[in-house]
Amino acid sequence: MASTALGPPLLCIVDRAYRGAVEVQFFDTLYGLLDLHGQFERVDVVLRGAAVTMAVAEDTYRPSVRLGTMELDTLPDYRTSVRELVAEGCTVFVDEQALTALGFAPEQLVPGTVCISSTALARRWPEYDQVWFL
Amino acid sequence: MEAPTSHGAGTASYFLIESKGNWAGPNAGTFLMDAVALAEAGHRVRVFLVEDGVLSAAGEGAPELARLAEAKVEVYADDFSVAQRALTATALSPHVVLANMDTVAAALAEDDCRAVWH
Amino acid sequence: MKRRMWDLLLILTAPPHSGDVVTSALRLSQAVLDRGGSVRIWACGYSTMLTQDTFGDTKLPNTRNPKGHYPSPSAVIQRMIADSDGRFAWIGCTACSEERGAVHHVPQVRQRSPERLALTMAGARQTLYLGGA
Repeated sequence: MASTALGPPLLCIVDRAYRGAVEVQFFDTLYGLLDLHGQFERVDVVLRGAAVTMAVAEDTYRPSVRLGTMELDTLPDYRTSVRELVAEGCTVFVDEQALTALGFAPEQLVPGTVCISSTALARRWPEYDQVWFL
Repeated sequence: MEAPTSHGAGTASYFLIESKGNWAGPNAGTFLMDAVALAEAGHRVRVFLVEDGVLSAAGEGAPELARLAEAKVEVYADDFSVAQRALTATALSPHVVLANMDTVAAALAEDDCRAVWH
Repeated sequence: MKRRMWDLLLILTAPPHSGDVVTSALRLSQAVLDRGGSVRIWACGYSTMLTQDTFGDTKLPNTRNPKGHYPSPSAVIQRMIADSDGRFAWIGCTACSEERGAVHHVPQVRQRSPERLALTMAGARQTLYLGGA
């Protein structure tokens, strides 16, 4: 009989951002996390480097581009995905050093995300069976 | 003996597009210094930051941007890339002007414009 | 016969799904088209995968929005070609295609050997090389 046990706790670190829009649409790294996290006991996410901007709350970006007569409005919607990860129980950590270096303050993050220093985060690795750099 | 310079050296018009920048990996700022060197040699130089290149204009801004300003280089940032990276929620470098792909298309249509993508 | 001159040739070498270069190339192409110009994209490296007929018209289903419409990359490119009145075209490099097993291009793609790259550049007023392969 197949095991229905959940997989081990994972810490998934995203340190490369913006890997395609038109060809990717919904199927980006954050979607992968949303789609798969239910299989695991726990999946937490770290946004590092330029990827911290995916958790900055804003209302200017429209995930849409006009190509020919087509309005392609299904480009990745990063902040919505981050909100969904938080809503579905994943802790989303945001690297504090990268955030401030880019001129943002922790208060500007999507609610429910956790701003944390790289050092403090690394000290949490033992809480997870696996640490994956996506 | 110095190597001969290429013929037709005169001044040229360069449109340099930076899609990476320092947040995408080491040495990416070197391309912006190429722009400075060209400008200091008397060429007309414009720089267009796109994709991760716009991150160079955020926060304290890459130091190369101040050098570009000193060298009278026009620096543009792609408005789509800026919005995509939530940079409208922070201040961009004062040396940068928001623009879009129309600016690039217009420049590439100029007769004497040489375009380089990094 | 007078050879046609294109306004812009984009040589696209960086792979899709690694950065936003494909989006930028298409956005720039659209800006050129909006100005009444013409543009060809020469796809090299893994960007040859973008126009495979194995994609079909749509991407795989979005499990979180199964009724959404998500056009495949090849469908997006085919649509741009169809909408452009002959001013937008796509070339697939035969060597890169073969190297990657990406040999089933949609019929709108013109396949050219890399030995014809210089000739293709000569047919454009401006060439921009998008590196990163």
